[in-house]
Amino acid sequence: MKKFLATIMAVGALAIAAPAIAAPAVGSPAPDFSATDVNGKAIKLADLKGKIVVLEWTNNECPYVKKHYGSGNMQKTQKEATAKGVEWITINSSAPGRQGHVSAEDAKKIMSDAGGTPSAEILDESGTIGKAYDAKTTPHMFVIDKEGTLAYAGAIDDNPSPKPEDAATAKNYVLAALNDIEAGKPVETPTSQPYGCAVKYGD
Amino acid sequence: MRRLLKACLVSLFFLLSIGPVRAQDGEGPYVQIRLVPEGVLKPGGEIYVAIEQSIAPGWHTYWKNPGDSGAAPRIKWSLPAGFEVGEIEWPVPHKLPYGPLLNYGYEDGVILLQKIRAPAELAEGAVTLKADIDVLVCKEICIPESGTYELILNGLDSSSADNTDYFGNARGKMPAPAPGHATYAEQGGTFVIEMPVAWPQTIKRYDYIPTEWGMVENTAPSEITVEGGRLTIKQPRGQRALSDVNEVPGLLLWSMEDTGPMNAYAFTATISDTSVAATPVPAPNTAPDQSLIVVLFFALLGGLILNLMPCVFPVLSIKALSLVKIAEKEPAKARLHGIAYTAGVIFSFLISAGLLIALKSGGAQIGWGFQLQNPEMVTLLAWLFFIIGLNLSGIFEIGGHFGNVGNKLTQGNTPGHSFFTGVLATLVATPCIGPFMGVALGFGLTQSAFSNLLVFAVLGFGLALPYLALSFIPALQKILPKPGVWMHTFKQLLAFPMYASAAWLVWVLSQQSGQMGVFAALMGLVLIAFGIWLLRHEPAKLLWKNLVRVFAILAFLAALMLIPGGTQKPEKSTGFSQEWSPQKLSQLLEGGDAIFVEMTAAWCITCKVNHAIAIDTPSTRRVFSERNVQYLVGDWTNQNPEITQYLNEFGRNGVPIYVYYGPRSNGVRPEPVLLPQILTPGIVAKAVTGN
Repeated sequence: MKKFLATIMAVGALAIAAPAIAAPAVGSPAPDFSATDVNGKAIKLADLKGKIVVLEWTNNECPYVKKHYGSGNMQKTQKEATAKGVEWITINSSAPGRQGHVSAEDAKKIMSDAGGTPSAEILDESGTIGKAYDAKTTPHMFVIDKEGTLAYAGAIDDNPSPKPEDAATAKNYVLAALNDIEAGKPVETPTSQPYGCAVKYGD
Repeated sequence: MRRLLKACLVSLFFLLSIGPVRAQDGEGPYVQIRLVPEGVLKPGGEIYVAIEQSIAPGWHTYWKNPGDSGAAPRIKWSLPAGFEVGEIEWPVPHKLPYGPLLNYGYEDGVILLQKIRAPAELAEGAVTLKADIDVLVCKEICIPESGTYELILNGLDSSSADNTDYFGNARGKMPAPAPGHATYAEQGGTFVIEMPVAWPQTIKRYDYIPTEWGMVENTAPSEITVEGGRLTIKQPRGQRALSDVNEVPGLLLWSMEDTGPMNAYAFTATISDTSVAATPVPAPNTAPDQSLIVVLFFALLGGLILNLMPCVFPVLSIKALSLVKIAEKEPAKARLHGIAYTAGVIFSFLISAGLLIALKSGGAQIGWGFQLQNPEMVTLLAWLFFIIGLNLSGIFEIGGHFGNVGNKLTQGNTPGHSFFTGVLATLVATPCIGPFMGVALGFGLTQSAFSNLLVFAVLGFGLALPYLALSFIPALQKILPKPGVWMHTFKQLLAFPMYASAAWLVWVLSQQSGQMGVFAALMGLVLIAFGIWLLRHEPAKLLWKNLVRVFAILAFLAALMLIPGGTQKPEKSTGFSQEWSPQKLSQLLEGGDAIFVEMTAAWCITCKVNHAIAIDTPSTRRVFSERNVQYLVGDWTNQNPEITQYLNEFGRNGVPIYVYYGPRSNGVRPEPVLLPQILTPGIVAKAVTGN
């Protein structure tokens, strides 16, 4: 019912120039979504139950995204996560004509050039998924546990500096959350203030 | 061109800082930064440094809480040994909406301030400090700009440059500290901040900006209301757990104009359970504490009026007459009695206030009169009045074998007795809280602990004042009739108000504990009377004497065991009225009819009198039915947090309260009208019909 409401709200948001959407709370079910990834494969979050899922919001032209790809921090985090069997979904919610909006081919090229290894990439032009999660910045990170419960929402790390060299010394909240979940512990930092460029939603 | 001109002016006028700016994407820079010292930095001294950002048109930089996206500027100083730097002081930001997001930041330009402290040893001549500054500047897209900037202190032209206006202007954009202490709480998905305020009605606009991220949904509108001296900010909760924060800072924006820039108060809210506050509350732009003085005046008046209440008057008049006897012989001793009595009263009031504050900070939704919401307390008070009555009737006058309070009350003549008379006077005054004190107590309870205690102390002082005056001013003593045999008769006469008070309290108890409670309380009276009778007829032989005493004590203990507990629903109101509940009220507010709300309690005499003479009368009934007035009654005889909260909304902490909500006209409902605490049918009719 909650998911249904969230979907209704997300659709409603698109229809009537985006009113404020209540963000999904950490500890409550992550909003379900279905989409087709850049390789044409259908993805449905509900089907991934039993796996830990990481959602990463991206925009390759955003300096903060560049910070984390330029320093190799995002790629490293992706590798560590996927090595643990985590499903990593990179989502781009830039609307057509806005910064960071790319075709599926370009998205694949950008990712492979950067050496990134997400499990899937989704182009969310309409912003439906972004708004369902209340994704605000690029990067903005979400961790969903095996039961489909939102376990972490926020920044990738604790240093909102734009400088690539600061990524190495910062505390990586996503890896910390994954470790806590694996250890069966509650996530120590379940939310943090996301930092970076605004997600370039359409009007 | 304008930027170029500005840059030229900058270098011409100050030549103090040179900042190499490098933009990441070739274009730009979009933010020009310069560092300006306020003046000469002396050894061991401190000055402000301005970090000035000139922002390209259409672009913006961020506040310390950037909002939904973005990032605050970062300033990293490289300081020579011994130098220290303070926190960044941020001017009030603007709300910058961006699609479905909301950011807090600055457009065109901003001056951040930071304090720099010099070491005690500071060589003469110029000192150069360096700062690495990262600024994120955004329009449609975001660009981080960074650079290293120099601040040259005590340079050649430092002493000649007059920066007074520049820094005065910069300081003028900082938020002022909020005058009241704010608290926060979460109520059903809404973040609620409350702050006591005492400002004029002319404030036209409010706004709220969270300094801490994640407490509220930034984009959701905040609902800000002022009612009964309390400002409430409500905004849907954000995703960050409350356990993640301790104190929650924020900005309250306000303006007396319909348009234009707003003033800002910075506050730091603590979680609402700890209701102890730090500062009293002045109104903005008006004389501080004016309202407190008015309230204190009413507290004094209320205290004075308490002397005339049927439960207090007998006790005090006897005491006053005995004072005259003392005063004739030993004026100094009389004054001592006056002081001891005053101390006793104020002491008891402060204890009550302390208890009330403690209970409230423990989260209890209570108000004044809370003592009488407890059947045990009502029973004990009924017995106390009964015992005082017996004493006044002359049933027992034997000097203190045991805690014979009533006896000591009238007969005792040491200052210690006077102190306890003060305590007793406060105790017996409890049920007679007069209307004047409703406002004072309501105010007191929403204020800081200090003004709270002050209000109660003044209330007590008012109660003690007549006796105190009597003990100090011989001329007043002369007004009182000469002591004589008539006093004995008068004293016996005064027993009857005491019995009446006891009877009334038993009736209150009937509403709280039902028939069994009344029976238990009455049996208690019998046992007390029996115990007193036993003590009056003590045999001469020690063994029998002790046996009789044991029986007497057993009788009193048995009475104590009878004290009824438990509560039962107060009687339902009859046909004419409907039972008040928050749901019922909001449901009726949705509709168009006028609404009259009465909050009452069985133990509240004023409430009962008002109801009988002004509301439950043929004329008021007719007015209500002609005008389709929905009449709601809330009963506060037993504790009811919802009613307590309603009272608080109107700045009150006790009953009665009468609120009239006019009917909707053109779909708009007028502001509710608070009626006086002493009603006449005329007042009610005028509120409803307007004439």
